Amino acid sequence: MERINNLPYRSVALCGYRQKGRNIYQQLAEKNIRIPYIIERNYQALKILEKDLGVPIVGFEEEPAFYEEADAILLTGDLPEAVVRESLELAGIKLPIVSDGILQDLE
Amino acid sequence: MDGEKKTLITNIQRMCMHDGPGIRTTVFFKGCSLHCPWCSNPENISAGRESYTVNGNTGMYGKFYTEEELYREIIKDIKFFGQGGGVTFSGGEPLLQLPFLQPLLSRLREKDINICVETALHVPTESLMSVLPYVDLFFVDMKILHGDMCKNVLGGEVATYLHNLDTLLDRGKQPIIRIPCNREYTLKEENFSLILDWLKTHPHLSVEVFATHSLGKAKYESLGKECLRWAQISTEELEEIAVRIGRGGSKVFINSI
Amino acid sequence: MFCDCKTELERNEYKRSTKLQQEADSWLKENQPEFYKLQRIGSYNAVFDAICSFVEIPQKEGRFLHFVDYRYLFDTTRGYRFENLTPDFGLIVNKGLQELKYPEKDVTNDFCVDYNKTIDSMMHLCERIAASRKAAGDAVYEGLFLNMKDKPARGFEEALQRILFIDQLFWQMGHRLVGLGHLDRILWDNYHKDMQDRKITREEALELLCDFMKALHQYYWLKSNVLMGDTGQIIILGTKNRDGGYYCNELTGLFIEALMKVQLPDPKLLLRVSKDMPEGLMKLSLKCMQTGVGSPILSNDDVIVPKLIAYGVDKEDAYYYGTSACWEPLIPGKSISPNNIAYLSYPKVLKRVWNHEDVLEITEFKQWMECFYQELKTELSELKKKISDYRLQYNPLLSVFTGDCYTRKSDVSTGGGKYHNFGITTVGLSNTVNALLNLKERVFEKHSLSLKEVADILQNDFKGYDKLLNRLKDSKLKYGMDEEEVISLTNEILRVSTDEIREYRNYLGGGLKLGVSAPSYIEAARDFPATFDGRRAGEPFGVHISSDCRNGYTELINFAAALDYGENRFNGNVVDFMISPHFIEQNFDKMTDLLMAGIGVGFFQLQMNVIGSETLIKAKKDPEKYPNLIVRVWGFSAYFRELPEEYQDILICRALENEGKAS
Repeated sequence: MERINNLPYRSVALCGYRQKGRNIYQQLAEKNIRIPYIIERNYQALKILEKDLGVPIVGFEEEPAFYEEADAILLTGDLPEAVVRESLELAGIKLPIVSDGILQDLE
Repeated sequence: MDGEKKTLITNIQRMCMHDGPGIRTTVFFKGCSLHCPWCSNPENISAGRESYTVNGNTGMYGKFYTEEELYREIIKDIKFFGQGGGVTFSGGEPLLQLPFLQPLLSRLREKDINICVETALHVPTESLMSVLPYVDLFFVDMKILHGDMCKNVLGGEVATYLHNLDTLLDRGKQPIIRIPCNREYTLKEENFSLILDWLKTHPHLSVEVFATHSLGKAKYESLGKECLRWAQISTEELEEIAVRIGRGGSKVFINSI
Repeated sequence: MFCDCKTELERNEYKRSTKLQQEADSWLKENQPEFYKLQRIGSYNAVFDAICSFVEIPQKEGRFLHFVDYRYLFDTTRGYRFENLTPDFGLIVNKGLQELKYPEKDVTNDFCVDYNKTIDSMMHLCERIAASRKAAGDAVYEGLFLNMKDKPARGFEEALQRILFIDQLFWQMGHRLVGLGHLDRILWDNYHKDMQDRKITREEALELLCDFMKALHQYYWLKSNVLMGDTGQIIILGTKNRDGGYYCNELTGLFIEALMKVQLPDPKLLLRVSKDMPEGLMKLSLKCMQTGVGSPILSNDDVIVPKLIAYGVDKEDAYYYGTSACWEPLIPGKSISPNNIAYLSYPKVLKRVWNHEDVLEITEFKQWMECFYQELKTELSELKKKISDYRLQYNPLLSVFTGDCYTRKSDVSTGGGKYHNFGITTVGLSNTVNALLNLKERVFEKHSLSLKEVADILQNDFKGYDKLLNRLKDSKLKYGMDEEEVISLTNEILRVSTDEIREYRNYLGGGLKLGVSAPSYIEAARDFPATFDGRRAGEPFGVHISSDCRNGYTELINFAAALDYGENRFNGNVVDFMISPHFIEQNFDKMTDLLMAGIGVGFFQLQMNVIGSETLIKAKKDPEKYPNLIVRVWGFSAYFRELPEEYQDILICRALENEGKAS
């Protein structure tokens, strides 16, 4: 499998953009991992950050095709994992879901 | 008097609400000219510093203050004194040390601070005279007017007391008379009738009666002394006493817990 | 199951055990799968609309209708939940919902769309409630709820009901500690008109307020935060006038009377005081406090308003200040100010100093303090970092009731409000000041102990050092005494704290405020080791601005007035002391004088713990648990624990008589 910076994904979307999400975003950006979008339950309040980040911040109600921009969804740990996994499932998002543990594989 | 002269004080109690009108700071002097067996502040009787023991810890009753220090303590609450409040000098017998604090009294007067004195009046008349002009209100204890009983029980001279009381009245002061009531001494008919007679001749003075109590027990124990127990005086009995006094024309207040 | 809980006590326990949330979740999953899904993934408005459509409308339990359906509580993991707030309830009293909406032509961004949708959902809920009232044969309330859709309130009772309606929505949407604001002003026009038109009498108005309070209190098992009764439902009364003098009206007194009558711990009252206030109002407040109900807390406009203005609050707004849940000043309807987002523990700073590797080399108190201030800065830096990611939840509901959002067309979470300062509370300042003073005296001045010995003593939780512990507690200089050295040390610590956070700006451009009161004096101390003020490990930290009041409350008030509340140090600074209702009764006029004088002396805020017979009885049994209890005995004020037994009994008896429970 092709590995970019040692991750098996070309692009990774983040789910949860609070304390941990911000740090992880920074980490990934430094390693040039593409982040096509960020999912957040509070997306409407965080829209204000889109300009600076250059990344759309969305909720769970986009068209399925939108989410498929990413190869995987990374759970940042900002929200309880079980709750988020359930939300992703209820939203019909079928991408691989990984937790921030994979970050230690980063080169 | 020179600023180094020190006054012996056991306690300066702020926010007192029943030692005179308004909110007051009460200064308790150490040293008394009497030794009333029912005294609730026995630590104030002797005129020197005394050691005490509480819960195995030792300490000293009595701290020396310069005039300046005393003044500073008193005016801490000046903003709370308002119209009627101020400082009350108590003890022990405040008139033993107050004559040496005339500059302090003067300063307090300049600040318009109301001054009360709680006294048993068993002091030299000159002491009273030197302090009198500065004082707004006197609380005078009336305990034992029977000459022998007074000498034997309290260690006081009735004649001096009565002379001082007359001096106060002659100078236009209207003291409030405080009577500690106990069956063992003050209410004994040979004494109480004398009190009634005196009050009858001065019906314009307000009187407060209260039952002698053992609230100072802890202090007696701290001094290694015995605290006497006093026969219970009920509120009804106090009321009866008040009525008896009232028949002479005085206005009587009952101070009870 | 929650629905099996019959009594309030059972409900409280159930809720406290947090099974409530799980139960609600599983109920929703089973019975309302669509809503459950929506709650997890839907937009704010989608969820809000569903909530307004689904909440079960109960029958009226009292005069008013006020309910929170715990199964449909808004999931607050969406963002940082905004608690400690006060929406502008005046808007719903003076306008109909329709009038609050943007006209079509003014809808120019997504926020405006969501804002209008929010109001539509509220109107839908009004319709549902109206229908429910109609079915119950309650034409008056049917009309009332329909009227709310597009017209202002038509009377006092209607205004009160509207406030209850909007208030419940905030709780339903997951907010906590929802304050009510200046109700004596918000309700005045409606009350006054009804009185003039003889539609109500003063007695009827009092009854209405009692029912209003009971309605607010109904759901306190759900509204309570960590401790039961701590709901933050605070009503602000009275105000110093901008142009001089003091404003209060009949409602100010009626609210206080109502609380005296209902004797509930919640809602609570805050009375803004000033030297120009009528003494009669202070007397009424004291009477209320005397009942032990815990209210009102007094907030000193003469001190606070100038501080707010100096910090940059507009003059008009500063005169309109209210507080969040307990005592942190904010501007109702305009402040987006989470006032208690974190707490700073001063004892923790001291602990940091002890953990330095060369701490034992310190030879001068000056050195020690330099180290302390360095650690204070570090602690505050970390705190700033911790809160830097704070992002409020998208909140069109709150935006409707926050003044400037409409004109700015911006949600509260993106800067629609007018003031955006965050606030922290601080805990353990008294313990820290006392510990520092003890270190100064015993280690650095008298050399009676070395730093190593102190470190060991603290490590071993004062084991074998009971005498020292008592002497430390009994120090000549302590926090709360109006002594120059204590005051200047306290002020110095506060000013250094400000230095470190003065330049901080949150994501909305607001600053950071601090205060010396905190609710976390138990929580922060629970796992905290012994401190050199004579506090053993795990014992609570000092409460607000308090002391053992050996020298009377006047000393404590003097001390509090001498603290420097300038710059950002106005986030709640409460003088707190214990007093028996008997003492107040015996010295009522003088206590009034004390409080009035205290305003002039300059306390920031003040509350009294009025203790009844039950506590006296407990205090008699366990005197060491009540060291500060002052009671009145003829001739002097006494500490209850120092009284001989027979006098304790007398007081207990009197207290019971007072409370009408004499046996």
